[in-house]
Amino acid sequence: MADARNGQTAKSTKIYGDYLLMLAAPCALSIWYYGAAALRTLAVCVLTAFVCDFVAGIIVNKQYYAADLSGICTGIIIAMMLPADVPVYIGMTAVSFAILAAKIPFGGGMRTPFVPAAAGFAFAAVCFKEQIFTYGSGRAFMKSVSLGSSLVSGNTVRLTASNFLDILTGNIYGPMGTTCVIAMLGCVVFLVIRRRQSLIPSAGFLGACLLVSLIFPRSEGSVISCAIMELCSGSLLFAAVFMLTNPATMPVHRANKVVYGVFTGIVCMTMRKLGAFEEPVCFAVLIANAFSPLLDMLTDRARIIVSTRQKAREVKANG
Amino acid sequence: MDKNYSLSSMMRTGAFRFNPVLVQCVALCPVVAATQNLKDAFFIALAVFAHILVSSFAASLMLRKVSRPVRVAVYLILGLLLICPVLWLIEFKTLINLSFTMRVFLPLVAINSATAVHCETFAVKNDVRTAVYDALAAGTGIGIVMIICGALREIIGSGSILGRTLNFKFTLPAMAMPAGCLVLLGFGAAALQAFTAKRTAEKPARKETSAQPEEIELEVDGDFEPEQVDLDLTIENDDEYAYLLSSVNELIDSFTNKDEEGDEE
Repeated sequence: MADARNGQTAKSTKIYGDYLLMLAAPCALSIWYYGAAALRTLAVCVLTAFVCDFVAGIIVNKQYYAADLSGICTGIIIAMMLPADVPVYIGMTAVSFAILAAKIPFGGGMRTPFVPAAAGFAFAAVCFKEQIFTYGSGRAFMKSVSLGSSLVSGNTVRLTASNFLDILTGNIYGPMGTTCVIAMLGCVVFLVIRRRQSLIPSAGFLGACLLVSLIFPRSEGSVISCAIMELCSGSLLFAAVFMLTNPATMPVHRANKVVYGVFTGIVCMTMRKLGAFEEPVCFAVLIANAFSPLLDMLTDRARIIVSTRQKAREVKANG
Repeated sequence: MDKNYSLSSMMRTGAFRFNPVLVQCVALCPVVAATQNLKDAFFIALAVFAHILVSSFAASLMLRKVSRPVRVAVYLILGLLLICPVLWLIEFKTLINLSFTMRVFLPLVAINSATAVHCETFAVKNDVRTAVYDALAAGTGIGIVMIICGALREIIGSGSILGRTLNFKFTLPAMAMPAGCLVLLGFGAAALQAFTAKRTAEKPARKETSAQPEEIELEVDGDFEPEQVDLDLTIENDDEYAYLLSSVNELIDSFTNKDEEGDEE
């Protein structure tokens, strides 16, 4: 039992250690852009994650392992998706929900059926919609308007070299750590080196999002500009890198990973077009998480049926 | 009458240990959809309680020899006969202002799963008094969960209780939504399970100091086939039940440990 637990913790440490390394870039950029406000939000979320993990461990009679980095990772991911100047209690609520309702009851670490950070952010988005999707201080090339909100109002941005560079470097209004495209591409390169398989859902997800945004553009300008804005707005790229690559929640079979990613993308873009929230990617991830085990189960059943029929045919042929 | 079917014993098991909502997972729809505040929760709990009581009484008294499809239809008709006039009375003859949710979900109580489950699994197989006791226990269990959920959801979700504002600095509106109620029910079920497990674990330990319960013999008919075992168990009292439950739990734990060790290998 102890060995199994150590094995789980080691696996968790390896995977979430990678995530922590990848999160260093968005963290540094958010502090660069938003200064002390970003640092405060980050500190609050990480501290809350640690305290919740520790206290919940005591409640459920489970020893807290500092090496299990999933809680800290969840705290940082949620902080990156919030505006820098969000009130402290919102970050605390989101992280507490993620740890206490979405992580610990299911066993934590590699056993969670839902991405805890997605659950925490979704809960906070429902409770504090105004504060979560209102972006305040920081450098910006569009006054008080994020790419997501301009898409919601049907406006598009004429992409010039300067504002395209702003989008690539994340110098735009939005969540404090998810807007920098270059940082996300760096994380993708890291994942290609470390865990190539985990990028399959992300590829399906981004492909589906791109396709939907090209077929059903939300603004009246150039279709290409609209598609770029869709991909770079909000937390879409961030979710593709940090949520859909979570090995605990993605399906096992390769084909199912593609289906999982494509399904998430379609749900996300549908909710962006028809839903009430500016950034519904977390809801899409949670819905896809719910169907993930079903995909594997159906595939396994189909395989069993096919192999049984094949054996029956062989037996019949041999007489 | 059998000791196990006394009102107190049935209340203990039916309302708490095997709570219909938290353990058996029935009547989830009215709990999740219609307990947004304490007032609604109280009315819906009352309706469920009355419906399950009347249906169980009728099932035990009259419906034993009726076929199952007809029985289920009778439960539905009984529910509608009971709830529709009450709803009409509340709406038009009193000053109680029902919310829109209540107007939708109160008539739907007539088809709730808790009634069907309790009538079909218990009431039609037992005498009237036992069936009524079971209905009282189940109705109380469901009612308690509904009222607690309604109160908590109103306090956390809207920052008020019975319409009176509590002046909280911030509220969590998600808890007033169905998803929030499911989270609450999850925590409630976990707390109940922990409490029951603690009680069950304590009982045999206390017995060790006094007289040990007699060993329960498991009579196995014919050759031992794990998948086709016909067990003949006669449980005389609560202590024997607790002892048996703890033994079974130990057995399951030992198997689970073996499985996990096997997985590891």
